[in-house]
Amino acid sequence: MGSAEKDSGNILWRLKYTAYVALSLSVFIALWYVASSISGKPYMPSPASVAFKAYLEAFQGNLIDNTIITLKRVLTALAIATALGFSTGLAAGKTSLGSRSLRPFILATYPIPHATLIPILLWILGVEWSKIGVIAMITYYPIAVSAMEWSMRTPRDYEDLIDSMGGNFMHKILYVTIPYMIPGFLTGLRMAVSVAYAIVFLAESFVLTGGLGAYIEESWHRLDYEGVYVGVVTLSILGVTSYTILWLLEKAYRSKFM
Amino acid sequence: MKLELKNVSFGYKDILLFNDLSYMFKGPGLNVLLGPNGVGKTTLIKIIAGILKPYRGIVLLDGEPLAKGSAAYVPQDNELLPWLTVWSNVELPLRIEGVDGGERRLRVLRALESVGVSSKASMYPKHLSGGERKRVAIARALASNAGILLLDEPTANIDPGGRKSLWRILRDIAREKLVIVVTHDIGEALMEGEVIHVMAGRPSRIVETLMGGEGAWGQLRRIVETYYGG
Repeated sequence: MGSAEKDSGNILWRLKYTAYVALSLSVFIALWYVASSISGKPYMPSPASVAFKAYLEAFQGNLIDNTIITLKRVLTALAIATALGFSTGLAAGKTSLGSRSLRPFILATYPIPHATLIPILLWILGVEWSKIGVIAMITYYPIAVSAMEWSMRTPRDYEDLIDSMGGNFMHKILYVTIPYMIPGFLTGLRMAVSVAYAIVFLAESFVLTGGLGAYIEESWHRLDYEGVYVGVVTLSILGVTSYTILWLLEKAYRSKFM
Repeated sequence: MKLELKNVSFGYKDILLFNDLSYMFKGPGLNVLLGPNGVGKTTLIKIIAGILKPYRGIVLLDGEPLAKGSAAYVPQDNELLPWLTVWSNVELPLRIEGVDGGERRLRVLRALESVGVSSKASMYPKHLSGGERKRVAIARALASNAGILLLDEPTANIDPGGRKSLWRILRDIAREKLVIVVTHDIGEALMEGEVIHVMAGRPSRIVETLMGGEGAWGQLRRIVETYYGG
């Protein structure tokens, strides 16, 4: 296929994809509208009233401040989880010591319901860092497991090349393993991001010190129905945006090199 | 240049592929390793390249143990790292060796020019044809200054025009280096190789050495009948 054909194919694909997203979003909002009209209950406000509330909260309330607090917590936790997950996953996949010690540890502790550790983390790490700690702890696993699995799948031919050039273990990691595992790692990070926004709600609503979780919880206690929806929708937008950015990054990497 | 396999033994699980194999390749020259599938041709060049370690025995170059990096290896597939540009792929052995920037640039440029792919320097391997990828892999071997070039089925999946030009490049290189090409294509081996080494048996050994070229065609029928069960 020529590059002009490829470009037009890409543009067509992008247009189609944007149309699908717009269509599914429209269907979702329409269904919400119908559900709200039929029920007529205050706990099922219409999308328009939620949008208006969001507008007011953004300019007069503290929605933006709370969004920034949540984003900071999620990004800090993801940075910690990525640093730990990537390095331990790589060590578990590529070193014999890591394979004997870290691999069983990661796989055995993965199924533990880590969210239940919030009260204990609160004692150990304090109010702010317990929230970050629990998100980091939970998002660590999909990152570490994907890093481990993908580092183990590195094609032998590529490592043989480095061997034949007289390269050592670190050359293999740097030039072969890490570039090869990036798409798999991004898939793991994408899974982690989806979980992160669910866990941040739990963590922030456990002890109320700002953030969208606290915003939702406080609105709920005040019977501010629109406020609850504004918080949920904002968290969802953050989640979908982060997921999409990572998905596009992964897609770009794959289409450039693979 | 003498590349010597001395009492080499190697196998996979319960299959003993080589038992006390001793053999000598003389260079420079274009050598072809010929033999049926599964006879151990790829394994043998991987042992020479230092990728596989024999259970017993040693590989010597002019009487000295062959140092890693002295034999450049081009595998059948995945011959280039897909996340590096053509330039960076060719530069890689020099980076590993610790060659400084100025000399590195010069050697990469020369190597790319010598196989006619300097115009592809900024491209990624996925945008190259099979023949171009092989030429880049050969350029990488040339840049590394390795005295021995080992290629595993280099003409597989390449069109006839590409095959001809690849063999021409290999013949040029073989004026100065010891080139060993693995193939299972008997016709190509007899036609293009200067010296043909036929592998057979289990444990495998090099059972016959022939001179290549037009005259070798007379041997085709006998080789097929003797070693390929035809």
